[in-house]
Amino acid sequence: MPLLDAIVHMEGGSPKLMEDRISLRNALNQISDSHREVILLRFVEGLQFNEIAELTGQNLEAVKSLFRRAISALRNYLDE
Amino acid sequence: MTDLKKQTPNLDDLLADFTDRVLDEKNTIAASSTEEELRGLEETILHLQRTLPQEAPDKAMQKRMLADFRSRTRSVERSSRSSWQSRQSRQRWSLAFIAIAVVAAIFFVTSLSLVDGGNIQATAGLQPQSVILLLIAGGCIIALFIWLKRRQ
Repeated sequence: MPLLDAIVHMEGGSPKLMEDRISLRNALNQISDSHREVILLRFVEGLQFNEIAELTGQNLEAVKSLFRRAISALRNYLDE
Repeated sequence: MTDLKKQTPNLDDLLADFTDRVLDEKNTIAASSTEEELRGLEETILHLQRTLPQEAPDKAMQKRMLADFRSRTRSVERSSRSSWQSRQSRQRWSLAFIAIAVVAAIFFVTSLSLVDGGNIQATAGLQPQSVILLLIAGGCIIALFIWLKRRQ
């Protein structure tokens, strides 16, 4: 997962931030591809939800629902 | 059930709106929902915003990511299409199996009708009635295979 590795290796930030990035990368690696994709498209790529819907060929409600489930799954792994 | 249906999209919208505010306004926003589940999700959004790099990835990385995403979408579409085709094929073969079983049953019953109380009625050959039934059964099997070939 080159993008996730790039996130961790980006320069700048305190040791605490680097630690958080590593645990976030590990959590992102645990969730499903579709969940990871929607999170990265929104947060890293900066696409709006309607743009993600257009890109993936889904309707807006489905994308928002997928996003909520993705965040929920990520939260479970971050809490572990 | 109805309540759940109403509640879930609402939660989706609320979380999406919160994410938009966090990412677009670039202001420090705190998790504010009184609902425990939504508040937990909002905190995860804030954690993501704090942790993920703020600068956008370079163009090459963007292209790679989108290409990766599109190829994954295509492969999911392909696999769902092929599973539909294999299901269709299975249905056709089970239909063929049922038809052959019916024909075999007709043949078996016809064979039994030749035997009456342990005595064979016709020993010099099949009765004309049985021959007709066998021809019909054979015709059915041939027609079935022709139909299956055309469907494939």
